[in-house]
Parts: sequence; structure tokens; C-alpha cells
Amino acid sequence: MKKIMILILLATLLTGCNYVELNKLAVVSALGIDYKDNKYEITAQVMDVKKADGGSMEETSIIYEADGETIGKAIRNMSKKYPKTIYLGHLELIVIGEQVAREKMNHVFDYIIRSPESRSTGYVLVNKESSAKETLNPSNENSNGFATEQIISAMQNNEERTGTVKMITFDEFLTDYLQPGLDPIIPLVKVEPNSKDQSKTIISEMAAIKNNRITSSLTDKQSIAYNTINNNYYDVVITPEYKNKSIGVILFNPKSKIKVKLKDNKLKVNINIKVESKLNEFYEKERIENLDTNKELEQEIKKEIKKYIKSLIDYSKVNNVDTLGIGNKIYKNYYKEYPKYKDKNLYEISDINIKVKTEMYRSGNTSKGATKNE
Amino acid sequence: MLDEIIKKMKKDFKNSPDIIFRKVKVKKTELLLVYNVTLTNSNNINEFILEKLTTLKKKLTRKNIYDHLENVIPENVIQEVKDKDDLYTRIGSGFTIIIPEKGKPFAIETRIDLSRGITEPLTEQSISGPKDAFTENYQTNLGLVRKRIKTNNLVVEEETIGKESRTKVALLYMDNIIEKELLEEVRKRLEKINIDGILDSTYIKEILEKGQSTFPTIITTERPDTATIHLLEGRICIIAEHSPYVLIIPTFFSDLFHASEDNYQNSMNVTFTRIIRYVAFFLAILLPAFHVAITTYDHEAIPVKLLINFSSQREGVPFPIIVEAIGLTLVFELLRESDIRMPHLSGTAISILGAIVLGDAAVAAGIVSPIMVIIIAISSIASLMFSNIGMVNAIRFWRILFMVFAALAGITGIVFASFLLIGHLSSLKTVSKPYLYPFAPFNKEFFKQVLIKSSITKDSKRMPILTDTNYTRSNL
Repeated sequence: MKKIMILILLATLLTGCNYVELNKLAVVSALGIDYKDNKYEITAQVMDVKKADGGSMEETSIIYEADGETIGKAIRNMSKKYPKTIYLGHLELIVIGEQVAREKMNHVFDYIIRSPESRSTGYVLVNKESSAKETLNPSNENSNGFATEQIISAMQNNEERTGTVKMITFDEFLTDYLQPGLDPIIPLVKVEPNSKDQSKTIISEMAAIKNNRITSSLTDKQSIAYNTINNNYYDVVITPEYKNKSIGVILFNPKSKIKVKLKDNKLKVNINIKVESKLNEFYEKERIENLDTNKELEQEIKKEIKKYIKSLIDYSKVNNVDTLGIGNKIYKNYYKEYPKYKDKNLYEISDINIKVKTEMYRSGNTSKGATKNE
Repeated sequence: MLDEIIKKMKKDFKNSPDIIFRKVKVKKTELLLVYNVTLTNSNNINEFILEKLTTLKKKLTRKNIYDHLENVIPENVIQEVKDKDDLYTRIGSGFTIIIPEKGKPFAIETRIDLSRGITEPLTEQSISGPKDAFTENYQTNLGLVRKRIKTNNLVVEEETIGKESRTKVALLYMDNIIEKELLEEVRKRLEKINIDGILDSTYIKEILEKGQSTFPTIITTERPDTATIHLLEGRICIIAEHSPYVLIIPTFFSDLFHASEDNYQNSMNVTFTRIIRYVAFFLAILLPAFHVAITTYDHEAIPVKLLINFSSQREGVPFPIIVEAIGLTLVFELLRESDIRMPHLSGTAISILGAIVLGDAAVAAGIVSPIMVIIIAISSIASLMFSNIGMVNAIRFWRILFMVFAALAGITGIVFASFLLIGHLSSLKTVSKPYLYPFAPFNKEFFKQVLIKSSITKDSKRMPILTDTNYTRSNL
């Protein structure tokens, strides 16, 4: 008995968690952070269950709003208005509003990594055009359920199928963000008016962040190039031209590497892309078993991929952001030389070499296609 | 002369009506028959004693009386009575005493069989395997084991324990397998027992266990086949008079996860069942505690959808979750206890009350949340998987302890309670052997064997902790 008493005492003394009954928690699934008139405006999407007719449960969400001088203060201020305790342990999504994205990205990161209760495996999104509040407001949504869930599954779908978005959790983002010589990419969310009252949430773009500030967004092609270099999609359709007509090619299983060489103050960057491809749509009479046709097609695909990557490099050059992390490679491999290159636009001074390797050996379910061969 | 004896004995027996004194005259010699009418078979007395005595032709003298009676009376056991104490004990065990005018009294066995016949096991049922069970009859019980092991290596040592009850207790073991130290220890402990009566073998179990734990450190069985299997492993069985349960010494923790059924089924299927039993043990002890912990402290530990689901179910429940959990556990224990005590006829009423009134109505009234009913039901059913009632009760004790720890400190509390449980289990001894063998002290070969039932062709060794020399079971 004595032993049990001692253990009970120890157990209560050693824990840091507070006792909160489940039904007194407001489980926040998404947090929107805006900055307006020198105050943070926080929008929290709280998950809730509504008892529908017939006793079945229906999942809904409620919006909690509050403002304050700092993010933490604003979240605490929610307790003034709402009965439940705000709980960030299941945070799935952080949406950063326009104003914050332009000036104060690091404030958001600081709050989240400091707060012990918030989960840092949620995804981050930036709304570049309007506020985070607008993104999370469920009246914008055209269907029921959690707005958060819809946004996340849309993002996932986009990443796997179009390759124009990269899903990034808060943890991953922060690791990239804190590395020297690397400007991380963050997915963007847009709210477009659909009809009278409804609007649609679109996640199809990405943008780089430089010095706590968001830059202009990448085009689809640039995004695909970024994901190819970072080996980050399931399969993606590109449309190269063959005999001046667009054809459909699926890229999958990318295996790419970037190598940086520094010799005699000359920066040399080799981008080696290895990606498998297969035919998606092809309207010509030629059959791809024909080696010449196959080679021609492969050439076209390579050209197309090169074009995409060049466009990404142009973007980096123009905006002076290091999306490929060349600076980081220098930092890792040539530490002593790094200060010299720290503030330079690396894409202007370096000699970038792109090598693309692809093999196309699949033509889908048919080898002939639907074009009559007379 | 005989009248005097009758007077004296009647005084000793405080005029009990069931003690019968009967005088018989045989060829001018008077004999006195004394017996307890409730314990003796009156047919035997009539046919084998009275009839033979009255038709006796020779004259009985002081010298030839014993030989004479032995020749004439067709009864197995005819013995001289040593002293007064012996005389009274024999009357108490169903003997008929013949006291001649001159010479020593004799005891003739005329016992009536007061026990029921061999029936099917009631608490350790199985689908396959033998279907006989021990009864209250001591000789029958010994016979049920004896007929399964026919060599003379099976030793039966008999002792009488109990100042008033004088209960016969038999110590069974295989002479060529048993570890002598263990045997000595058990003998020593049995000798030390000083008690007025042993009414069941569980009395001896309690005394040997010394009340050190809620977990049973000695198991009882009502199946002679189970007892035999354990004897062949090098364990000791204790059979007590008037008790249908046989003690198995030593019992390890892992034995509680084995059922008699296991010996008669396909070993691969048994392995699966055994894994289920281990899972059931953890579910039974941990599930309510874990639920309390995740709903009050460690909300991060469950998926968000489940969290929302739980939270909505708790909407409107007026009690803190720990009160809800302990309350429901108590209700379940009430149901179980009343179900056991009730005669079978009214058992159905209780099930209906329990299932419909308590379960359904309590949820509908919003006093408990449905998820809590599910959790308590799962963990209770899981604990009932063990046929050993001691194990079920031990699990109940630890389940509540774990819940209290979880309510105080969440998952950290559960970790603390686990320390307590593991520390407690590993400090236990079953007679003189470590209770957690083969987990601790670790034995790789038998660790595998208690978790996974190997086929009988591969299970060729005995546990080294149970035997000194005779390790090999089979050679296949």
C-alpha cells in the first residue's frame, strides 16, 4: 500500500499535462492567421458534432474568432467569447493570410514551435490574395463537413495527380526555412467567387518565401519542374509537341539529383533528371515499337522537361530566390566559400547544366492507337 | 461389562442419536456393535456382519476371535483398534466397531459412498479431450490420476491435516522427474499447517500462497487429465479429501494463459488462440485506463475523428469520466456476482435487466456515454476469457488500480501503474520458484514455448526449473 501511495504521489507530481474533460475542449483543426491594424486576427476552425434527426451524428465546424497584439494573446482572447478551451493538439492546417505572408512569417513559426501543445505536423498554406479568415469560413465551401479536410484532400490530390503543388507540413517547412541558402516553397490557396453566394477554394499554385516574405507564384510548368527535381509526385501529365501537335505523356517515378561544383571561383551546377514516362495520348499513325519514333518521342519529352526546368531557373533568377537550394549545397560542401556567395544571385553567375534521361517503353493498353493505318 | 462401555461412550458422544449401539449374542459370547448410522451402509452391516455372526458355529474365545472374524466376514478391511482416539475417528469415518466382552475391539469398514459419481467438468469445459472430472471422493480422485499413470514412479504420499477434521491430504508426484528441493519445501510447508479443519483444497492453497498477491500463484484444476499433464512436467499435485479441486504446484504466470483444450487441438490454431489470450489480458487491464487517459490528459494520442466522436458522446454526461468508468465497472461486477449467486431459474431475469435496463436505458437517459459502455463491456468480456476465477478477480483489481492512476496522471500514470504491476509480478514466488518464469528469469526456449504452442513432436524437453535430471520428454 505504501508503495502504491508513493507511486501515485510521484505520478501526479511528474506530469505536466492538465486535466481537461474531452467535451470541454474546442478541437481546432485549422488556424487562420491574419494581421490587420497592428493586431493579429485569429480564425480557428473548431470541429463539432451536431445531433441530426434520428439520432445520427453530423460533423460540422464552428468558427472562433479573436484578435490580440500577439498570436498567443489572440488565441487566449478566444476564451473571452467562447465556452470551450482552445486545443491545438490536433491542428491539421495553418493558413497564413496575405498581410502576414508579406511581413511576418517568422512570427507564426515562432509561436508554433514554442507552444508545447500545438502539433507541428499540420500542413501550411498561404493565401496571397486575401485573408486567411476568408479561406476558412465555411460559408465559402460548397459542401458539408470540415473545410479543413476538403482543403487537405484537394491538396493531396493535386500533388499526386497534377504535380503543381507540394504538400508541406509545418515541421518540414521549418526545417527548410531555417537552412541557410534555401528558400522554401509553400503552397498557395485561392478563394474564387463561384456564383452569387458561393465560392470555390483552389489550391494549385506555389510560391517561394524569401526573407519572411512571399514572392510571386510559380506557373504550373515551374511547379512541375520543382516537383520533378525534388522527386515529389506520383504521376503527372505533360504535353510536349510532336510534329507541331500536342501529345499527352505521363511522367512518373522521378529520380533527380543536383550537383554543385566550385572550381576556380566558377560555379557549376549539374541537374540530372531521371524520370520514367509512358504515353497517354498520341494521335499519329506511327507505332512506338518503331525505334526511330520512340527516340524522336523521347527527344521531345526531354526537350519539354528541359523547358520546364529552364523556366523554373528563370523564375529563380528574376525573383532572386534560391528554389533549388544551390546556396545550401555550397554551404554544405564548400563551407568556407559560402559567405562570398551568400548575397549573390546564384542563378545569374552559375553555369547550369541540365541533363534529362527518360525512357519511354509503355504506350498504354494498346500499341496501335485509334488512328486508322491505311 | 458391555453396558458400562455403552454408558461411557454415550457420554462421550453426548447422546448423539446417530450413534447406534447394538448387542449381539453369539454362542453365549456377547458382542457390542457400534456405528454411525449416517455414515454406514446398513445393508453391509446386515449382510456381512450380523448374518455371518449369527450363523457362526464355533465358540468365540479371547484368542481366536480375531482370526475367526477375519475368516468369516467377507469385508476387506478388518483391523484392530489401537486406542480410544482411534476408535472415535473410525466411527467418524464410517467403520463398524465390534467390541467383545473380553479382548480388543475390531473395526470393520462399512462405509457408505456419500459422494456423487464422476461427472463432466463444470468450470473447465473443453470441446475435445477427456470429459471426466474430479469429485468429492478422495479415493476416486486418486484413482482418476492413478489410472492415467500406471508406473510405480507415481508416488502418493498421504498426510492428515486438521486437528478436528482430520482431512486426508495426498501429495502426488513423479519420483523420477520431480526436483527434490521443491518437494522438500512443499512437505515442510504442509507439515507446518496447524488448523482445525481443512474443508477444501483451497484452504491449503491459501496457506501455501501466504496471501502474497491477487494473482493466483497456485492454480486448481478439476480435470484429471490436466493434473496428469502437470505431473509429467515435474509438478506436484495435492488432492484433499472431500474436494473436487486439485492443486498444482508450482504454477507460473504463463500457465494462466493455457487452457486444457490447448493440449488436444492443432498446435498452430492454439498459438493463435494463445495470442488472443495475451491480447485479452492487456485489453482487460489497460483499455478503461487508456480511455480515461486519452479523454482527460493525452488528447493527442487518438485520431481527430475519434476524438470528436468521443467528445460528442460525452456531451451531457454529468459525471467526470473516472466516475463514469468506475461506476460502470461496479455495475458490471454487481451483475456478475448476482448472476453467480442466483439460482439458474432467475438468471434470465438478471440478464434482461442488466442488458436492457442498465445498458440501454442508462445511455438513453444520458447518465453514461455509449463509448464507456462499450469499453467496459470489451474489457470485462476479455477478462472472462480466463477460466481461472482467481485470474479474473486479479484482473479486476488491477483494472481499477490502472484507472485510478490514469485519472490522476494520464498515460504517465498508466506507465507508473505498469511499473507497479511488473515489479509486483516479478517479486512473486510460487512456493519457491519465480512466478514469472520463463519471462524472468529468461529462458529463450521455453519463452517461445509458452507463447507459441509447438507441435507435440517438437515439444521434447521439460522445463529445467522443474526437474533435476530428467529433461527429455519424447524422442520423435
